[in-house]
Amino acid sequence: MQRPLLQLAPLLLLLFTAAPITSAAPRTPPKPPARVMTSCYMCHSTHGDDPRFGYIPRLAHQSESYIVEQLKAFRDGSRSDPPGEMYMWPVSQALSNRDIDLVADWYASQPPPPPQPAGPLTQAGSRIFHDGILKQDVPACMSCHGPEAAGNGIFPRLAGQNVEYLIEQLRFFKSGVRHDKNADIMHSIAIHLTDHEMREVAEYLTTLH
Amino acid sequence: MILTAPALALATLFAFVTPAHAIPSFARQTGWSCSVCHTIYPQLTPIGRLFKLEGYTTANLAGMQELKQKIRRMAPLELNRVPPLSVMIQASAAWIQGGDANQFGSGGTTGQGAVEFPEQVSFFYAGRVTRNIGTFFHVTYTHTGAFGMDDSDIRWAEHQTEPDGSTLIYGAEINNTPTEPDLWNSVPDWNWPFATSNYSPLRDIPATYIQQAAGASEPIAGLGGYLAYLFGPGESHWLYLEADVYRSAVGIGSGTDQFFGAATLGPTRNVAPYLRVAYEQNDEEWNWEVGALGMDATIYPTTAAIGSTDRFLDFGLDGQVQYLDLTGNQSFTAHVSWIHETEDWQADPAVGFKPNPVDTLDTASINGQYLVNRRYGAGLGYFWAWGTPDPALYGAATGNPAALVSANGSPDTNGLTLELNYLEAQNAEFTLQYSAFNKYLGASSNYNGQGQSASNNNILTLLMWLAF
Repeated sequence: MQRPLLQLAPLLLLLFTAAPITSAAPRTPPKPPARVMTSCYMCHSTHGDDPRFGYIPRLAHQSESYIVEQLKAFRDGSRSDPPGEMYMWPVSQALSNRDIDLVADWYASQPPPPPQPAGPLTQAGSRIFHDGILKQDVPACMSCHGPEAAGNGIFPRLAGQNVEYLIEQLRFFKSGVRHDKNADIMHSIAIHLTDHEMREVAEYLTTLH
Repeated sequence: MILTAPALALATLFAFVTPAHAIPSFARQTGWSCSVCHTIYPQLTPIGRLFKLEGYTTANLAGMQELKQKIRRMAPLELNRVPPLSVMIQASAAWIQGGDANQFGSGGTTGQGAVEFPEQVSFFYAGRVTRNIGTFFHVTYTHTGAFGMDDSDIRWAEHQTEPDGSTLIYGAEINNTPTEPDLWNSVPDWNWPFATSNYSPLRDIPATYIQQAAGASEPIAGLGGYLAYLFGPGESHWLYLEADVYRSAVGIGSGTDQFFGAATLGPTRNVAPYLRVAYEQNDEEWNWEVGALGMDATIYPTTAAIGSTDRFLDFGLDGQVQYLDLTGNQSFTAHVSWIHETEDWQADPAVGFKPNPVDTLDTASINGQYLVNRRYGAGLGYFWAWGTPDPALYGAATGNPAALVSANGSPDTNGLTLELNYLEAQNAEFTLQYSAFNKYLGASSNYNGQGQSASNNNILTLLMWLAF
């Protein structure tokens, strides 16, 4: 009677010898989770880099923890704003915690969305982002969202985001129609921004990668 | 029932276009309000087009109950906790400038304007059946006093993502109306105006076969497949291909006239192929589409499938432009369409029915609708029909009511439609619609040789639409 390890020897040998060949073969791109392909992609696109409308956020490369938190907030109703209630409340109700993790992992692992070209307001927006507007009590955005607007903890990634989405959310923060557990932070800032300044900073953020 | 030759001519002349609308069962299934998929009913947004492409199977709310199988490898079973049933009610009141003689739908005898309650009642079963199969299925009761099949389809759909990020959606469907599976409202089954009075002379404009078939008005069923390739940045470029073959079928074909009743035209000989190709591009708030369609229908002249046949060869071009500013709560959609038909009257001429050997008929329309706050809307459109004069089709020989007779045998008709919409809610719409004719059946004045002017057919209509 052969010992079990000896029985496995040929297989182990094959595995070790085959390993370099396997690693040299082209890697099959990962498939998106089923939820992405049955629901999310309809608005956010499969890779989250180019949603169908400007007021829909780009999710590609967004912080995984932020996506998880927002989906759960949509699901329990603690995040609300008009489009969120219309689109995301029904969608999130169908998501289990496992679904949310898979969706968040998928979009967070996608390459950053391609930056948009600079416009005439980009430079002014850059000043607001980096320096704030002291006389209006507007702090520098980068102090929370990071110098490259890559996000930090509860603060979402803003680099490469859609202009219209950013402006809309700033308006929601300002008017108070957006509610979530951290909305007060942005409300206290957005109330000091004019519509034009919102567009300036949005047009800067969309140029970042 | 066998149609007589004049009845055939009448059928060729009339266009029974039955409006169809959005339905709440889709909203119950997705949790999305109607305005996610529609601007105004039944005008689709890109999300609505995707929902249709996916076979009506997108379901966000936990409405499906999965019945666990105790035996491995048994086919799965998921049932809707709430069946996707909906009801649609329409009512209308119309005033026609020429009075009773021009109220074609009723035979012109009311004397007090044409009031319809209901104009139409539809019962839908529409939504997901399995993970890949969905239905848009409805029967409609109309002014004739009977239920009939309305435009419906059952479809299976699947999709896959390619390594380059593009998406391929493909499906198979059965339907009872050419252009019903389509995604744009520039094709006959879905074109504007989305509702008209059954009495409206708009319904009696000379129409091509493919237009007559709208609203399940011909005795045909189609089996087909479609493919949508979404590619480019953000999958913003869409290529849509659809192919169907139609043939005569029992149980449909009378539109809203009868449930198992008479057809307006006879059955097809063999099958009638239908082809559709369209391209859409999405660019932020804007999207636009251009497309072409074609159908080759060889039809027996009577409901008895014997003898020789007539042939209707249709070719059409269409386009749609849509602007959706959902944050600003306004939208605009414009459609343009043109269909050319060659009518090859090959069948043995029946007694009293001797059309030209070959006729042509062209129809075209251009229209646009603006909606603000999903509450107030306005639409304006112009329509045309023109073709070969043929007294057998349009003249006194048809036996049509006097107001539907062309003295010079011409189908030439054109005019405009203007409407105002008020949505009390997304599922309760009131419309005031006015159509004015510049030319009707060949002339602006005295078109029937009995003193009728095209303007006698001008019609003001108040429409109500409820869905729940």
